[in-house]
Amino acid sequence: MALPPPPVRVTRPKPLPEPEPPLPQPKDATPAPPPPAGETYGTQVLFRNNRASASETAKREHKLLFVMHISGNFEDSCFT
Amino acid sequence: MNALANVEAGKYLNDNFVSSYQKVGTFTVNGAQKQGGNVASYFCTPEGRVLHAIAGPVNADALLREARWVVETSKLAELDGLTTDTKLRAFWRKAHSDRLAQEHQMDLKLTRRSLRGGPHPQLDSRGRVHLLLATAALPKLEQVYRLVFEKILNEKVSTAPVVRIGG
Repeated sequence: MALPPPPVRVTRPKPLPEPEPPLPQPKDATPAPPPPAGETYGTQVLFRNNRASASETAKREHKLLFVMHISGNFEDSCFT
Repeated sequence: MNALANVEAGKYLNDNFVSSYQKVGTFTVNGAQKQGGNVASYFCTPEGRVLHAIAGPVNADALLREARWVVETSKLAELDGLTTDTKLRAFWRKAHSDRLAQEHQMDLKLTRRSLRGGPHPQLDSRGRVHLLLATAALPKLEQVYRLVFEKILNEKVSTAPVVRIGG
């Protein structure tokens, strides 16, 4: 006499665990914004206060150099 | 009007140039009045060779026009494949000579002899800048700034601080 087939056991896969919410980034891990490359002194033009660094930047960025020779302090008066 | 405060001029300068400044002169503040003082603007290669200059204050339109002329003329030199110092000097010499002829009615070929006679009182500061850069193209900034400030702008190069008189 034949044996009855074994009962089929249906195993349901376990549901995947919910992904954990990302940990909040510590405040000091946020990269600091780069320091400003220069100052505008109330104009629309960004001025480096060092011609040598301006020259290096111009070479690197394939730009020309704009140099202003002024009387007095640029911060106080713009002779343009 | 402050040309550097103009948005369009500022954007063009920032897009095409890296800017810096240098105090080379001084002026006197007498009460509320400013006496003396001036500005010279130089458009240079990254190495500090002067392509063009503006002697004195200008409005935003003039600043933008001259800046564009420098950029477009530089591009033309690049397009022509001018890389040697000799060829670049000749190119910029001709560029300034052409403007001297077109805008100031001065033909350098005809007036070369008279240049030995000294300054040209009929030329304004713009013309004198073209004359300078047509006769000595692509000078180092160090070689011409004193001449521009003292002979074209009639200011003294000075390290003295600004002098304040009265309140």
